[in-house]
Amino acid sequence: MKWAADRSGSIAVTATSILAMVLGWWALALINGDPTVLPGPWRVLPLVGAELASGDLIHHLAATLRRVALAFVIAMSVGIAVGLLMGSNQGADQWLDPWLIAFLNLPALVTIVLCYLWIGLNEVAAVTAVAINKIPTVVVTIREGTRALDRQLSDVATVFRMSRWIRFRHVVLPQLGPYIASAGRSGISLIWKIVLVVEFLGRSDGIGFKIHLYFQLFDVGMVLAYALSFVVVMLVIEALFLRPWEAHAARWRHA
Amino acid sequence: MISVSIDSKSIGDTKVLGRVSFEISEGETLAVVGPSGVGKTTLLRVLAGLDTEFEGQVQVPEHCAMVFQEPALLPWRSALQNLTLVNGVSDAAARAALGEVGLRDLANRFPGQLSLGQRRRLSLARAFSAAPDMLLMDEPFVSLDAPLVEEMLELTESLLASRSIATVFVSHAMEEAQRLATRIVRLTGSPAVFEDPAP
Repeated sequence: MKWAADRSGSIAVTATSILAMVLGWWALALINGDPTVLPGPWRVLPLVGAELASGDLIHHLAATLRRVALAFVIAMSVGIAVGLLMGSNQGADQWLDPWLIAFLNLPALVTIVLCYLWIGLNEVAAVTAVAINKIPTVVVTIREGTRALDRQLSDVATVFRMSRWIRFRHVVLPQLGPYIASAGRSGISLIWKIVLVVEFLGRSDGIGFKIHLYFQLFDVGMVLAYALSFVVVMLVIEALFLRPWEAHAARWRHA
Repeated sequence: MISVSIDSKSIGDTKVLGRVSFEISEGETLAVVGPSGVGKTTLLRVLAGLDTEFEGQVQVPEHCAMVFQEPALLPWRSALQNLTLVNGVSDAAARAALGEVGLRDLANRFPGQLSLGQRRRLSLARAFSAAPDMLLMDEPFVSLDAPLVEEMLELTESLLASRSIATVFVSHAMEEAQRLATRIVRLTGSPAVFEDPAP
């Protein structure tokens, strides 16, 4: 009951916070008074409706979402594997650390441009560029999580000769859960921002492409319509997938 | 049969164990007593295969179980899963083991929902349900109050009596050693070696 009350309270706070954001935007638009610079929600929402009705918005949302999902899966898979290796093997950590620092400090724009130049203006280059940008931050987070693994539980697994898979699934993974969730949450927001730049620079569909198009036309309303639509999609993904998964993984803490 | 002949064991530059030799047969319980920090846990870690950097020879059975100083349970798995996942025993065998330590009705609880005494009993159930040939116990009653120590001693006595396991029990409390062991040795000095216990 307490959990249900906490949850409904949390939803109320989130809803109020979003409402405050919309009201703030509304007020700024009114104060500014120039819809070509900052159109209010009452101007942007009909644009969203029209793009939805034409099917354009769904088409470009799907293209961006596909790239985000692909880059996310690749970045998380590679990042978790390398993070585990570096966190558990001092030799590997020493060898790979300079690479990690180099990639952490490589500007996203450089990676994107180089991927387009080397691989070509195609989907592989786009997704690779995004994944390369995200992998180092996942590695750093997972490496910290691996270093913080409970040594006594590792001893238990060794003494009782747990198989590698059972050990990973039931001893290591639950301890890494918060780190994976943290890397995932920050990852998905970073990835979609980079995907937009990738689309802006070299794709012919996706939210980034549309923003590029309306930027050239100085159409702030359409830029906001496409950008905010994708923000809403990401909020829905967070609410429907990330939060329930986090709550499920942490249920033993609240039992 | 456990056969141990350690010549020396160092941690960093510090020599922790000197020459330590003993043998234990099935059904025998060797108690190793000594002050905190003398090297008792180090000795158990060598026997458990957790520490392989030492000089000497250790022959132990393949099938080993250990009761740690802390219960060392998986907090994100139920009491039942702490047995089935760690030991690979069946649900029925795990439930029987939980019944033996008085936790039959708490099989679906997470460790965090159990009292310290119950967690200690779960740790015992995990070790005994593995049906080991060698059991290592590292001060399993430390930080418990006197009535709980008595309860755990009785439980451990009955569990050991119903099985034929070669056991090494480590404690700083002579009374606990006298209750559980068939043989007692004292680990003392620096580097630590065995000597007969004081009468």
